[in-house]
Amino acid sequence: MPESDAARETGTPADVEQRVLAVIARAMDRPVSEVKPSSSLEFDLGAQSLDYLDIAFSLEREFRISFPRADFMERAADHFGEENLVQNGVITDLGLRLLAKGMPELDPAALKPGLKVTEVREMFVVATFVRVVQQLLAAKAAMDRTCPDCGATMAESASLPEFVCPSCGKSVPLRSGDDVMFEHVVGVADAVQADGGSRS
Amino acid sequence: MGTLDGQVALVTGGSRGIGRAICLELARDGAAVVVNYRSRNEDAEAVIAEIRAAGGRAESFAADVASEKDARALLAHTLRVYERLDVLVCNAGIVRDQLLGAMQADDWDVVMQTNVRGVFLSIREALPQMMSQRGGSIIALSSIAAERGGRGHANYVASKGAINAMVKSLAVELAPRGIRVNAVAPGIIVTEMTGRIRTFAEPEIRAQIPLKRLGQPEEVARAVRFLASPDASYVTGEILHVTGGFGV
Repeated sequence: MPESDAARETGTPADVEQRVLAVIARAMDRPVSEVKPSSSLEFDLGAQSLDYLDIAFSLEREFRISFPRADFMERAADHFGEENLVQNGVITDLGLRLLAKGMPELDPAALKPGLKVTEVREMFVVATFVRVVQQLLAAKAAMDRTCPDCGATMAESASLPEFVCPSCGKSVPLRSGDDVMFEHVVGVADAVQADGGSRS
Repeated sequence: MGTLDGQVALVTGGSRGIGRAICLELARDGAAVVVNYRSRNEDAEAVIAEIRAAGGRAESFAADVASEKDARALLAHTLRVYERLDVLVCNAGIVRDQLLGAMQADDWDVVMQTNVRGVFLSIREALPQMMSQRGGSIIALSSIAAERGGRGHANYVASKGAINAMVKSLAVELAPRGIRVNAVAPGIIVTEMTGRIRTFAEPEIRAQIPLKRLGQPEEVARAVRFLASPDASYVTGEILHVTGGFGV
């Protein structure tokens, strides 16, 4: 893919951040000036569960990506087993280390023993969505654009998270956001385990 | 000028019976209509031909709404063609009548798949668009049977009861985004689906209906059109009975 196409599809980090801020402002019916990367979705912007879904849908449309439906901790639980990350509703030491590594935008001071799993979502900030969008855009840019049926170069769909072959009409969906998120979790898990090994 | 001018409606199971009447009614009131069907291509083509002949806009699309892949493709097609979605009518439904003691598990499952899972998938796939538009009207076809029950169709009755419960839940869940969710519960309507019961018991059924006649698909369609339109702007979470008084 020509470099100019990649740049247009992914945008610079600053462009992506501005677009995410604008999407969240629109979803929350607030002026964009009130939305900062450090804004807490719940405490600063008043987001409720439906708002998270609305933001995910809106980001999918804005960036033509497939946004994950499960959050980082849910995906991490798939990898490690929930009992290793949460005990009696409280995040374990391993869980805290995963969060610190995998969601670096979270306030490190809040990632302390005793943190309840129900409190994690309350810690989400706008930068959380910026990071996820950047990861999804990178995953999209890395996808093979060769049509599996006819070999032509596929183009992005104008309306859906998929590539469409201009030659034969074949459509190929983008990698799901949940898959990309899982890959992120595995990468973070490897890094955390390597850190743990080097400490011991 | 119709109350649905400029709006886009998707009707699942729209090729015949009540679904067909709904497609025609919504188109008559100005909506562009996507006529979903599962297998009867000729029937669907006849519906869109009738709409187009009257100056309306319509497309057909084959999809089994119980299939996640198909439901996704159906919504994608709608958005590719019309770029918006204002009205979703979840009409696709089937019957597999049998006394429960003789009912096969497959009879139960296939009815639940189409009548409940199909509604769930259709609505879920429509939500991103409706939420971004900050509005929409979702209408599911229920049945008076959901409240009256009846011998020999526990699977169908349970599926329609599930729809009623789903409608009330979603009305609350989606109200913050301006999306209204309602159901229409027909009584005994003259369609292919009710052919068997009409053959065996029409006089007895008529006797129980205060209006002393069976309903026509167009009478159900007009109730759907009302709920779809701005005339019902303050109506959500309702089950609108179109029964001629049956069950009152």
